[in-house]
Order: sequence, then structure tokens, then C-alpha cells
Amino acid sequence: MRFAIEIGEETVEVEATRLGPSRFSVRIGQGAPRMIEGDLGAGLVHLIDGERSWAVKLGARGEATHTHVAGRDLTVQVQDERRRKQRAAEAAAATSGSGRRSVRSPMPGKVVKVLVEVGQTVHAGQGVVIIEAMKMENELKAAGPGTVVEVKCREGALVEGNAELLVIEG
Amino acid sequence: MFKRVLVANRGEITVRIMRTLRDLGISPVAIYSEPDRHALHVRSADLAVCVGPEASRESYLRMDAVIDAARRTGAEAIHPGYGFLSENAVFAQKVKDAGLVWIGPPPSSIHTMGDKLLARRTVMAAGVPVVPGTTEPIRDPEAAARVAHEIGFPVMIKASSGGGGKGMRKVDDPEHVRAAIETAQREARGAFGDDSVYLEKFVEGPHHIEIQVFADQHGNCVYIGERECSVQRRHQKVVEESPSPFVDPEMRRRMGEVAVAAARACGYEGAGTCEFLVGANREFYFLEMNTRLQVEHAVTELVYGLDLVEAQLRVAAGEPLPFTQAELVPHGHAFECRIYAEDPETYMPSPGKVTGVTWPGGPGVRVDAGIDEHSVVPMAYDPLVAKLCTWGSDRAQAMRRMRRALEETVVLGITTNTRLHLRVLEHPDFAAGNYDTHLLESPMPPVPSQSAEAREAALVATALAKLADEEARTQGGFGGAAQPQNIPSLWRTHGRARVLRGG
Repeated sequence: MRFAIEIGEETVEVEATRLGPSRFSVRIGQGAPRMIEGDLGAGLVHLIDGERSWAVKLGARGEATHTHVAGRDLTVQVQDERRRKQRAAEAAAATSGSGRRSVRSPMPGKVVKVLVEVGQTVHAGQGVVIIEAMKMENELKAAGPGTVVEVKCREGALVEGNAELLVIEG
Repeated sequence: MFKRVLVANRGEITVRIMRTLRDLGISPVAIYSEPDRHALHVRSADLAVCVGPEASRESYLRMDAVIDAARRTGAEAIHPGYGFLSENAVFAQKVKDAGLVWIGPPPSSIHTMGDKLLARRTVMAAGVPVVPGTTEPIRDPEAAARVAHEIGFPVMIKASSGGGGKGMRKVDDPEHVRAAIETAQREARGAFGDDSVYLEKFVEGPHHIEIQVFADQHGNCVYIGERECSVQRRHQKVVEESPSPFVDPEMRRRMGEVAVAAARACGYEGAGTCEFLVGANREFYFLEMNTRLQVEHAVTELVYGLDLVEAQLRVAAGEPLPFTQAELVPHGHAFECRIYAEDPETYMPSPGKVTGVTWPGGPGVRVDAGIDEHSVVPMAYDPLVAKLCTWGSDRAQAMRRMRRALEETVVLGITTNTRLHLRVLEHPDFAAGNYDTHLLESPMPPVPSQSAEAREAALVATALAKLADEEARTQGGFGGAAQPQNIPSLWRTHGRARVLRGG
């Protein structure tokens, strides 16, 4: 099977074919296929690639996969059709220069204060919303200059991670 | 000794206290808020009582509910941990009035030291040096701004009933003083229900060093060395070590004796910590006394070979201190890294469902964790999820062990700050033991990220896990167990079994 896996800003094609109970042929991008021994357990994949041993811990992180290997974390996302379309739409919006930018909550939390109102002009780096989570207040800032065209949250409301709070048009 | 003790807290400190209770054959009792029903601290207890919904004010901070939980379960004593009700003199008195043993200092000591201004006056009378600043609380931002001008910038704004960095702000110039005071007041009101603040002169090149003290009911009071807590962000401690690379034996003795004088000045009993601000020229000022077990107590335990919670229990039960000043000799070096559920670059909190945990082990490693692979980290509480400590026969060995332990640490599903700790360890000033509280404001060295090979391994592992999932889904082939979300729900399995049984 072929998988498109998002890793940071890149999307890498990985083709994996099962050869036996714990033996796989794997091809990454345009590289040559390699034979890899893989032991697939709950939350752990152990790979033997030639003489190299890799213990990769895996856990769900929302829709993505959170991995830990060689002392470091890496979150990757296997793309499905819906995700692929969404990414393409985002890329198109970024290049068309429509200038609508959302301020999103980086984590689940409570809106303590909305510092701007619709119609107000803001400069890059200006604080626009204060969110409280885990007992600390965090000020969210405008990414660039523009005008606030929509406020989509209210003070005191609980919001999810990645929730759209404001729209700024620049 | 007690047979049953209630721990009026949650998270890692509750689990840690319950371990000592088990060591002593004492049955632990937990309290919990509704979302914490299956939290690790509840699973660590023999008995557990729900004290209310998620908001701390309606659960962990409800004094009568906590005391009622102790009565109902037959607990003889209450250990408050840190935070929540641990420094609440009214609660300590209510516990005593209910005929229970309070594992902490007398309510009068908590009251004296909890009122930061009364504390200043009390220790000054005992000859303890303090930082120049106001001696009365201020509520009016205009008045506070005037005082700031008198003391001279930079100044520190602190909440009168504060702690843990909340309601605390540094102000460098007159222009920002009003906004800073208002933010400090808002945080203080939210966290402590009291928005009075006070101002202090800001000491340049400062170290934050604290002395552990311990007193019993028989007039004995000792100091148990120092902890260097200068690695801070927003006045939240991130890394601690003992001994401090900045303190020599003579300075340790002088600071220790001052700390004992401060403890005696408020009639102290049990474990307490005197925090000092130490200037670049090694002049030291008393900041405050924390009248409870400190988060970072474990580094002291490692260096002095003690169990401070056991000593707290013995002192509360009326026994004399299990150690004398002459017996307290430091051995080796210890570090603590606080593992927070937050992003190491943006510092944004990261609550959520934990989907995998592996803690480090091996020589010189200690982990005090409040979560495991079955945990959810709620949004409502402190982001500290674990404390990682290492001990070594010298500072270099303890540091090497910490680097390894951090790399062995795996917490999946949420983001933790282990990368920040690796960067601190890489910092040449930290490595040399030559740093002050500004360390985290200086440019941090990058941590070598994963090799291209390791990234490929992550990709391959993810692809193979996904392949197995797809096989399991389409043809019931080789199992798809590598993805935890594909483990069948026990409820669903149980439900199916019931349907099949016709139940």
C-alpha cells in the first residue's frame, strides 16, 4: 500500500508491502525498496533495518500519530482523501492572497478577554485575545497588520484547541 | 503512627505522598473532582471520595467537603501536599478543630508567613535581611505606580497572597507599570481571591536559592541545605539542583542559620522552605517562607538520603526530628526537571489524552509522576505532570544521567517540555554552573533534532502500523494493534457479549 505521510511541512510517500508475518518491503519517496523486519505491538513498532535497530513508540494524537524514536518526539499524519483536499485548499488560499487570517486558539482553554472589536485596525504583534489554560494567561497576537472583521468568541467561553477566535483581514 | 491518612491534593505530589504512606503501612485516602475520578492519584489510594466538579473552588478547595471525606473514611490525619489548601491557615485550624491531625505547621505560622507583608515584618524583627520595598498592600494602581517611582525601576509586583509565579510581574519602566499592576491583580484575584499587591526592588543578576528547614514539636529546628532554583520562566521554576554551584559551605551555613531564625520567629513545626534572592555579590535577602512541602523537595532527599514526607508524618505524630544538624551532610549532586504539559517553544499549555508513557530508569534516576498511559491531563489544573530527578556522585555525572533520562522519557498524545530541558542542559552557562534567573531569557542552544535515519524510522513505523490497521479492517488479517485507538473498546466488547448472551 502507498501512504502519503505529513512530516513537518513535507509530505512523504511511503510504500509498504507485507512479505511475511514480520517482514516488509518498504520504499520511501523515490528511494530503493528495502527489506525491513518489523514487530508490531501495542504502541510500539520495533524495526530491524539491516543491522540497525529502531524502537519507535507510537500513540494517537487526535487524528495524527505521535512518535518517539531516538530520544525525540515527532508527530506525523497519514493523509486520507479529506485531509489531502483540505491541504490543497489551504495552499490555494495562501497563494491567492485573499488576506483573511484567522487567529486560532493554540490549546483548549477559556477566553479571559477579547482585546479588540470588529472594525478595529491592528498591527503585527498586537495582543488580540487572552486565553487561560492550566492556570496561566496567554496573550494571542495578530500575525500581521489588518482590520478585525469578525470576533467569533466571547469572554468567559470555553474553546477547543485550534478553534477560530477572530478573523483579521489585511 | 497513623493507620489511615487522607491526602488533600491531586497529581504527582499525591502519588508521591501515598508511596511513603505505603512504605509505613499507612492506608492512603484520596479525594477527587469529577473529571479526576480515574486519575492516577485516585488509583493509588485504598479509599477515595468525590469532593465536587472540575473547578478547584468547587472541589479541591472545599474545606468542609475535604474534612468530611476524612471523617467518613476514618482518616486520622490530612496531608495537604502543595498548592490547593496547603497554605490556608483557616483550613489547618478547621482540620484541628475536627479532631484530625494536620500534617503541616501550626495555623498561626501559616498565617504569619502567608501574609507576605506580615512575614516581612516578623522576620525583620528576628534580624533576617529582606529586599527593599513596600510593607503595606496596595489595591489602587495609581498609588502602586507612585510607589514604583519611589523605589526606582525595575520593580517587582507581587500578589500579597501569591505563590508559584501567579500574579507576579517585573516592570522595567514607568510606561508599563499600570498595565502590569492590572494584570497582576487579575491573576491574583482569579488564583487567590485577593487582588492586593506589593512592590519590591528588583535585584540584578539574581539567584533564586532556597533553604529547606525542618522543626519538631520539641523545640528542635534544623536546615537541610539549599536548592538552586534559578532556572525559571515567568517565575515558574523549571530546573532545580542541589547543592547550588553558587553556594560554598560557609554561605550555606550562614543562609541556613538565617532560615532557622525565620522559622523560629513564626513558631514553625514540620517541613518548610525559606526562599532567598541572592545578588551577584552573594548578598542574600529573605523573600518568603513556603509553609509546606516544596515541589522540588526530592533533590534534597537525594542529596541528604532522606524521606521528607516520612519525617513530616513522624513530626506530626509527635515524634522528635529523626535527624540532628550534625548528621545532615550533603552527598553528591541532584537535579530535578519539571515535566510540564506545555509546548517547549511557545510555552502554550497542552492538556489532553495521554496515549503512551514510558518513564526512564537505571542508575541514579527517580521519577515522581502524576500521569500514566491511562491518564487525561485536564485543562483546569496545574500543567506539572511529572518530576524527573537524577543523582550523581558529582554534578557532571548527575547531568549526564539527566540527559539520558530525558531521552528515555516518552509521553505521547500531549506535548511536554522535555526538549526545553535538553536545551538547558546544552547551555554552556548552565553546564558550567554559572547562571542566574535570566538563563531562559538568553538565546538557547538548539537541540540536535532527529537524524534523517530516525525520521525515516518514524515514517516506516507509522506506515507499517497503518498497513496492519488496513489489513485488520479489510480482511481481518494480521492484527492492527500498533495503533492504540484500534484496541477494541471494552464497553463495546462487553456490549456485544451481552447481546450474544441475550442479556
